[in-house]
Amino acid sequence: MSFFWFVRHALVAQFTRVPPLDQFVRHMVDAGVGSIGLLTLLIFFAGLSLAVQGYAAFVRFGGQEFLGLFCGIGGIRELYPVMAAVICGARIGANLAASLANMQISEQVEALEVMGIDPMNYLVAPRLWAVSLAMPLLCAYADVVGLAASYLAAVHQLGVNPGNFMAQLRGIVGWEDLAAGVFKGVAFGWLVAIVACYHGYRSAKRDGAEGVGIATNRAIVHSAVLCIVLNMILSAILYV
Amino acid sequence: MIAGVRRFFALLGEILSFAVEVARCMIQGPRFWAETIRLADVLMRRCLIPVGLAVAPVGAVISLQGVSVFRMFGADGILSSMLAPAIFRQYSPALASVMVAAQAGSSIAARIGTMKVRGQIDALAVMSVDPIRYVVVPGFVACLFITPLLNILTTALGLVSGWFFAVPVSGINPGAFTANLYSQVTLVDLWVGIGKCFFFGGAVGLIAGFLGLRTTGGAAGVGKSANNTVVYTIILILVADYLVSMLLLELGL
Amino acid sequence: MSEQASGRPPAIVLDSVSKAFGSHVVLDEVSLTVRHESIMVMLGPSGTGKSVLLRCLVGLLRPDKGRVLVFGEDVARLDPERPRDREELFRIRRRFGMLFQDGALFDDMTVGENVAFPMRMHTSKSEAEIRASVDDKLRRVGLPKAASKFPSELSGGMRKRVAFARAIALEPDIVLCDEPSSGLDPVMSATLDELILELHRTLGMTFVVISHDTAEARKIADTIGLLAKGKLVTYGPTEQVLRSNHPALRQFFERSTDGPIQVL
Repeated sequence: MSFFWFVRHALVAQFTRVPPLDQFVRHMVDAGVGSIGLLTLLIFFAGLSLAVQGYAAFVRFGGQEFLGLFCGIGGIRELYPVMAAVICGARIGANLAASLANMQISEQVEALEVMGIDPMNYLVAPRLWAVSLAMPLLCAYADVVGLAASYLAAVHQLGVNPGNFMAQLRGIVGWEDLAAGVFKGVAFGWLVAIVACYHGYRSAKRDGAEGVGIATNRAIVHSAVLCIVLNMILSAILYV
Repeated sequence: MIAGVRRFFALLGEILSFAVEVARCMIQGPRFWAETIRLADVLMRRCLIPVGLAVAPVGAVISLQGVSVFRMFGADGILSSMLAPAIFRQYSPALASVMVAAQAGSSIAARIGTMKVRGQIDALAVMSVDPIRYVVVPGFVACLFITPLLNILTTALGLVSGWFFAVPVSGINPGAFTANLYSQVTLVDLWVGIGKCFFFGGAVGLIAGFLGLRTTGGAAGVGKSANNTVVYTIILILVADYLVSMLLLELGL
Repeated sequence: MSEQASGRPPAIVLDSVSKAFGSHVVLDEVSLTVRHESIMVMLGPSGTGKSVLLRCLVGLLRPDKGRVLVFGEDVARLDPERPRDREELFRIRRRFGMLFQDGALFDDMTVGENVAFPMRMHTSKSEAEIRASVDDKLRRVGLPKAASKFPSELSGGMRKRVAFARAIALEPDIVLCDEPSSGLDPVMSATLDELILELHRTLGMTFVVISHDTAEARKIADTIGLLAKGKLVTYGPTEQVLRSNHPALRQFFERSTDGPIQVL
């Protein structure tokens, strides 16, 4: 089964029929709510780090008052969406791949086929919808947490003027940046889901437990790499 | 909440005592050098492409966004003086480690987890071969050494892609780029990057071994161990990264 | 052959079906007919294509050559990678129920939801009707109180019986059983055999069972086949097969190491 065959059939399944709603809701909750704890923790530290690094870099030539600008561009445009995608992608993608691979090796997918239910419609389509809708929400949430952390670090730890920080932030970050972030989120979400579903779906009964491990590993690595590369391409298109 | 905190510290305690056990096993042989080298070789090959593909775009994006900021002040010549420390000290080590966790960590955890659920770990123990010495230590040592090596490569790659997006793409003066590139990089940056990778790589190997050996629940459990290895190490890497940045700032390095 | 006279096609006809994976030939020109309301047991050593045969019947695998007629419709003609053919396959498959080797129950659903699943997907029955039907099926397999348990809480034999209940949920015309007795103790496999006979008697379903258990074949089959190295060695009514002196068959029934089937 080639990746392109899989993508083509997944797209047909995703856009020609209404996905089973209970499955969609379950995966939306799994992907979205399930990732919030992890995402909050990691983005908070990333936001603090971003401010500290920016400060360390700018203080060398006396530009520490430009921290708001740096955190706005570095964080909102780049770091938070792609980090949310990589972190949530690792978690969500691994879960999707592991659960589908497990269904394959225990013949549950074949059981669906024999019951006359298309696994593409029943299993793949709701996962694609759920993750591509959950990811932009997670990216937007990451923006909020990350900025709050950067602000905290800048103002309370590094002694940057709060008014100045906020003024610069407002000056540089517009609605179009947030919209771009949401757009990136949808693309990342779909990519993570399709890669994970592909690796999970491709496992076969004879692969056994090992197959689940391999599918999980590939889903994590491929989705992380693809999200980072896609981010570069999207940034080049959106900001050049 | 309280239960969650208590569970977290219990887990931390278990990992620490596991680390002590691994250290003890490393000091007292027998050591499986051939297996360690084979594993390091396999993991290095598998990590090379994903790590490179993950770090190269970061240099590109820093240049891309940096140019737009520095242009506002007419100072785009000094872009490279910000790019280099960010890559050396921060992004290359962190991303190389995250990708080693994703590739090597999850595959080690999955391999050990598969052995565990198939009963092969018990079989080793019955044959009086210590599973920690035979399967955990080689993975730990391999990760310990491949991560800094990969980091050297990715640092170079990050700088090259940063250069590409700054000079040919955005039209920054090539002379100014190279002249400013090393103006802000010190030997400390280099060592900090390598030191972090050494530490993070070891953590990847350790956590992968720990979670792999604790795998239960059949095939689904193997997936969970592989997944948790990545999640735990990413948490560790980000938190440690922040603490190191703060420390360096305080020390004025 | 009275069926042909009445104009009703046999349940399943395989017409020189061949299948190979790479250079490894798994099925070699297999032809056979399964009558309506019969129990066919296909015996054979492990790794001789029994499972592949079963999968060809429902179009999970597509033979390289030959025809697979299910109630007169050729399944082998349908390419599962083509959307229109997939629809056709799904329609034909609704006449089948399948018992998988390890049950293949959905882990995230309770036993009751597992059995109800085919009805929810394919019928417009009300919840009350579905519940009544689920209870009926679970009672038939001897697990009347298991509906709210999860598959992970059940033993292997119980999981298989639940899978049986799910396989017959839509009261299909043909039930396929992949090694129903593997991994079960003798008493539990006997229970499953009784169940097959019982369902066959009361609901008149056709059964295709693959197995390496000769005792099971003797007990339930009215037709026995023996597959070895991809070839159908013998096939016919049980009494006739049991009386035959075919060496491979004798070897299989006598659990002997010498004979045409060689593993070493």
